[in-house]
Amino acid sequence: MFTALAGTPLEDINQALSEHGQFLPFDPPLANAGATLGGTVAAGLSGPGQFRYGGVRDFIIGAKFIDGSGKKLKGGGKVVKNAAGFDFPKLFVGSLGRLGILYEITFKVFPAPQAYLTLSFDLGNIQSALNAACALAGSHFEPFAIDIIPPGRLEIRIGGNHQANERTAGLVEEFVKLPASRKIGEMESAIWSHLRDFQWATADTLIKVAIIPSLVGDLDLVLEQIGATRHYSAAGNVAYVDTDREGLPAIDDILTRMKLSGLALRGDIANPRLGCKAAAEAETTIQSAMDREGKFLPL
Amino acid sequence: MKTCNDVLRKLQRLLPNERFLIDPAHLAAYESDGLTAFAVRPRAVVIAETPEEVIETVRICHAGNVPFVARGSGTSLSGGSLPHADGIVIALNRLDKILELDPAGRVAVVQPGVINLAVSAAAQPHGLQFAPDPSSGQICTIGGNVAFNAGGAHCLKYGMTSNHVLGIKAVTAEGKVIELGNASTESTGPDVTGLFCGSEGLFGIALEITLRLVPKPECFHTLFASYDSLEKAGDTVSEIIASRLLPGALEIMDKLAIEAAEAAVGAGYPLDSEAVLIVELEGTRSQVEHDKERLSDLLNNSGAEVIRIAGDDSERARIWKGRKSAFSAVGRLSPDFIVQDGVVPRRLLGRALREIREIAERHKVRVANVFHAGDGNLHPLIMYDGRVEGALEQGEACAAEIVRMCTTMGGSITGEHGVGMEKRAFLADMYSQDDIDLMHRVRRGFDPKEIANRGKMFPSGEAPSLSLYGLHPLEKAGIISRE
Ligand SMILES: Cc1cc2nc3c(=O)[nH]c(=O)nc-3n(C[C@H](O)[C@H](O)[C@H](O)COP(=O)(O)OP(=O)(O)OC[C@H]3O[C@@H](n4cnc5c(N)ncnc54)[C@H](O)[C@@H]3O)c2cc1C
Repeated sequence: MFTALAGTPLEDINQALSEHGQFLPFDPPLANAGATLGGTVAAGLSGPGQFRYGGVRDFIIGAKFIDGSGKKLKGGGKVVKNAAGFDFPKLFVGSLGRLGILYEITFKVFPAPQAYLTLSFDLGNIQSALNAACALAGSHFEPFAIDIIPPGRLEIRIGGNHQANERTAGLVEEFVKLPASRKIGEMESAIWSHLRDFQWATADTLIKVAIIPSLVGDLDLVLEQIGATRHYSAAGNVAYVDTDREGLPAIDDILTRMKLSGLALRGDIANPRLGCKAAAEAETTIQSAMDREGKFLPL
Repeated sequence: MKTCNDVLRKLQRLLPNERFLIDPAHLAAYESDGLTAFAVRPRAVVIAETPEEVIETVRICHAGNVPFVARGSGTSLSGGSLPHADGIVIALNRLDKILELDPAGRVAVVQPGVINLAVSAAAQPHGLQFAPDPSSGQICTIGGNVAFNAGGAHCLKYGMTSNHVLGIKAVTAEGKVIELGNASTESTGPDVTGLFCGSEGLFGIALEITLRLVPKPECFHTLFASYDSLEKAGDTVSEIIASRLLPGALEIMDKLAIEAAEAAVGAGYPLDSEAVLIVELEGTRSQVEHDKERLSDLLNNSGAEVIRIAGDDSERARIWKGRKSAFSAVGRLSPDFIVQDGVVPRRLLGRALREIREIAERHKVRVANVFHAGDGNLHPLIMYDGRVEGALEQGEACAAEIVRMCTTMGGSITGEHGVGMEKRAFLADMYSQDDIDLMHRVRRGFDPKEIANRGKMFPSGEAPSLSLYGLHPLEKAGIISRE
């Protein structure tokens, strides 16, 4: 576990943890671009590694923040297990800085795997890739990440002892019934920094979508039609969509129709929240209780 | 009174007689929970069979300003499901349907009255499980797990209940139906689902819960190591954590607990040792093969006296049986006991155990220790005889000092049993008045009349304080045991 000020760059955290053989299992994106710990929590961003042990919400255990009236407040604590009082730290995940200003955050951490190995499969089309992803997600191989790059590429990241990784990789290939290209070392980590840090996204607007595997096929079809670049992470639980600003209303529409919710991570947009907001009423209730003077933007 | 009678009349019209209990003989079964021998008789009990009945009952209570307490199986160890004397109990155990199980998406949608272990049983044919495993799993409900953010023996790796809840449909105490989260592990907007988990039923009643399922590990490696001092066992836990191993479970029992467990089930723990440490590795076969070598090197240099590795499933079950029966076994050593649930930072485990012993000696009470060492979650079991005058007060004073030790060390007053009635007075040891005021305000947002679980969690609530502790009736009958 560690406590850091909210403005601490992820790079510093990653560095300090790795000196102790530990890591942030939710694999936060954009460390190289200067992302901070507080920004990661407020945006609710987790990387491909969230598949193994969970996202940012599963590792935050304590938060100190300042409310709209300037009061210093706190929720949670500094121990890995704590059932006392309301879980405000989790509430701040995805809060976009609109419930209060985080200034100090505590996380639990896990030991980093000794090594990684990545298997790249070409399944030809999105549905086959998705089926394989779901089967692997429910298997006992315990991959660290399962990502899909349309039309049909499947990236499976295995973590642990080097020899154990090799053995598991063989079993995964048998399971998928296809040969894969295997990568370790720098080539391997390059695959994941490319995905994690959205190096593939070149348009001006990047959107995160919370989705379920059974809807990925439908979403992918419409995104294909409007020509948006996209990538699916966490075995079909999150979609990242890259589009021009002009494409945004169409995507907002699609998400609303499919009852999905999205968040614009980048781009010049008045309201970054897109699609459906099923919990809007509860969010407003909480926001009015926490920010009585209405100092923050509405959620 | 008049409005309460109004409310009762309306509820009577809503429900058939056999599901609207008002006769004192019928109410008796709902008077207490896992904090036994303490009883409050509610005005009535509604046994709901549909979500609509729950919603309507809540609306009637809200309109008439009558407090209600949702009840799953009533196993709360902190008095969470204790009724309110002027209120009603809404029993949810008949809302026990698993509405959906999607093996490909690895989610299950369940009603709140579904029993914890029933979820894993349903997921089992697909090689999946519901990870939170409180030792009351055979009997407690998912609704109760959500409200109290229940834990278990495998939190180190898997986290608590809230880490496995993706979405919740609930009726707020005001009678509004809200939907939080979704079936994805990803979400946008503030994590209100996360806030609802562990809110101790103060916002309203969960009606439908979407759970994340995880694959069952391919293989386990389970062992115990015995030590001639508790500190050595505690220090070994810190070393295991520092060694970059991530066991599924790390549990410690002290001498008194070992003796009691041996007498009860004969798990094979050495009777002359001061502490037993249970370690369980789990994962893919190839990874476990590798990790177990490292673990073995580490334990061989940890001063362990005996190390016994489970050779097969039945030996593994035997090691766990000793651990799982320890609480009820210790409970039999003493007519009454108080179980504490404090948490200390893991690196201070050795010191915490030493201090607990000193505190116990000072208060002249016997304390057995059985705990989730990997999380720093202590479960000291403070024994006393309620028939001896002043013994309860002595036990309570000892318990209070242990809780304060936890907060002084930077820990928590509760790791998994919740604040409930029992630890209301200690909430202020962890949070400032401003922090607690904020919790109040958020609660009032969902429950302006404070009718849901009135008097719980917040310091100086109006409900009476507790005075007696002991085994849950189901523990006495040997049906469940606690950790
Ligand atoms: C022998 C024994 C062993 C135990 N072991 C463990 C353990 O290992 N780990 C652990 O964490 N706990 C343990 N417990 C404590 C207890 O089992 C848990 O707190 C459990 O989650 C309670 O579930 P329940 O269905 O019995 O809830 P109840 O006791 O009926 O209710 C608990 C609280 O939840 C509220 N509630 C219930 N249903 C809902 C709902 N649908 N919506 C909103 N609020 C609701 C109630 O109002 C109450 O405040 C143990 C208890 C016993 C007796």
